[in-house]
Amino acid sequence: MLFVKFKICCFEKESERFLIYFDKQPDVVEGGVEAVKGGKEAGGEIKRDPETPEELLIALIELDRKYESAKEAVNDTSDDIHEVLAQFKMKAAKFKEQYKDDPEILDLLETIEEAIANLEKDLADITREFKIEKLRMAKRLSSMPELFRRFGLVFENKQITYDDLNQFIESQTGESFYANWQRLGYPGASNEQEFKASFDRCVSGLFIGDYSRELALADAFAEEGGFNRNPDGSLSTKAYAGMNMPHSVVLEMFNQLFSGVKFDTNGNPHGTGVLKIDLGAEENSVVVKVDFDSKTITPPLRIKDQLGNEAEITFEHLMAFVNIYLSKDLNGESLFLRNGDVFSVNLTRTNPSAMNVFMNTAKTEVFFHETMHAFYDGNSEYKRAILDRVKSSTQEQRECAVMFAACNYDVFDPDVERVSKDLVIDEAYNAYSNESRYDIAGMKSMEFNVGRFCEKYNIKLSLDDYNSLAEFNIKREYVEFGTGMTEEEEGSLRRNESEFIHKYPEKILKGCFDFKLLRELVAKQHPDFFKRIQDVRAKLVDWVDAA
Amino acid sequence: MRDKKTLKEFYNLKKKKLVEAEEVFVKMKKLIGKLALIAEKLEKVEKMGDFNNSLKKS
Repeated sequence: MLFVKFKICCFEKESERFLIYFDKQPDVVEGGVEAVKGGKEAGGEIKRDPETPEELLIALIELDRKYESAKEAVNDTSDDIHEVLAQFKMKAAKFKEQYKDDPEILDLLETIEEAIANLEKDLADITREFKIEKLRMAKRLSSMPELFRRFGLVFENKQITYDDLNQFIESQTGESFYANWQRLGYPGASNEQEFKASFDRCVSGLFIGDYSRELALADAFAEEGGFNRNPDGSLSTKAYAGMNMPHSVVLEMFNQLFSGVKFDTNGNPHGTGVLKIDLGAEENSVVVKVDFDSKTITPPLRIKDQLGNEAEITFEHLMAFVNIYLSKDLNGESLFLRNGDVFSVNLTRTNPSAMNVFMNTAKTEVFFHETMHAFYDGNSEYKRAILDRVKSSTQEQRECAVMFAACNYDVFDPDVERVSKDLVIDEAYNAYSNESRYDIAGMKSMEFNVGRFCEKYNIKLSLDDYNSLAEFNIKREYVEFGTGMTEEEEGSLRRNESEFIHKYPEKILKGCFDFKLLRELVAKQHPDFFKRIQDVRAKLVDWVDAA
Repeated sequence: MRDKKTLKEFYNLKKKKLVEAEEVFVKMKKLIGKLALIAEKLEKVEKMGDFNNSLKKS
């Protein structure tokens, strides 16, 4: 770590005195900034500039990690300063009232208020600079996976060794790949041999690159509510960090898409294929047409990231995804076989497997997350571990898990074939996992937010009893950057948190990932709907008690 | 070679951004110093208030 992290332990009252602490928490300052400049004089970890693609990739990953750490330090400090300033303002207002007849004190309070206003402005300026920088950075970073791919640095089962994987994970986490698995609490992967035995059985390929657009259609087909309909008729979906795609799901998609499509002698498709996409519980399915002759998709499909950057999902992206399953690997074998317009999984492959894992980022936590999903589907040993975890959960946690799964699937609709006990438990893994970002207390995930649940099931929640962001276990940054705020909304948030919460509750819900809070609110404000949640829990989660 | 240069450029850019992020952090540290000054002033207000109150009582 590069930066000295400051934590302000706020403004406390102690024996009628106000104290302010600046708790310096230096992480590691090996060589400081010079360390990453890479000069000989730096004395840091990198002694010379990286040159080869492999060195550059490793250095980039390390820089990315350090930048993320720096960003977090800046954001945390900004939050802390905001918090202290709010307390100062309250205190100043209180003194102003208390000493309204004392001109000397009022004069002093005036200078204090001025100083607070100046500081707020300075903070806003710095934050604005950083905000702009973040937007620029996000756009640049979006090209990073593309670079991985162009350099041939695509991690596939057959192309990297377990040593490579181990080094990759170690470079990011500081501990071995297998140590990470052990820490996650899953058995049977304490060394390469044990892990390989499980991994090879489940996953045929680990792809790292910019597959977000290629995957978007497949995801929207497999899960409902993946796309939103825009006023112009086009459909938009969000970008994902990673995805596990069971072959069975992709196969279903292939057989629907290519049904009735003619293939020429070169294997090229002609005619029109269709994909039925479910927009969510409250909407009917829409039909997406793929014309293989004019190479067009109708209606147009777009992908949108958290910062509002948009890109079109083209016919070429769809075909790039299709080709992953039809092209031959190093053993001369393809994942799928075609007979006319009917596809099947190639069961004669040297390495039969249940799925592929795709990552649109090189983050370790995404790798672990997606692989754990894969293991649930493909390996009874890991499935057992997840079931045991669910078994020891409380009813409250299970109800949270139901709501979590309901963000992606209409678990309340008994006619939806895709909803099964295994699916709900696998989705609930997100909630039961011991990854910190999916902690049951916070259930943090940018995708599975409280707003998404409320929007999908048309649930209105009143937040009139709340007055600060702190009450929602919510990061100001998520509200500011994750919800597409207007200038008016930004101004309201800056002026008065309480006003903002009461005026724009939907923004709070979109930035909130606390499903425990969601459960409480639904139970209190919508008891009938809460009963449905409990019914689903009894039907689709409680079965693990007997498993 | 062309690709290598692009990746290298990206590396240099990212390095520069990291240094800039530290500069932002340094600016924030200065704000913390200003916060401490405000805290001192508030403490002074409280002392003055207490003092004035004690004068009134006496």
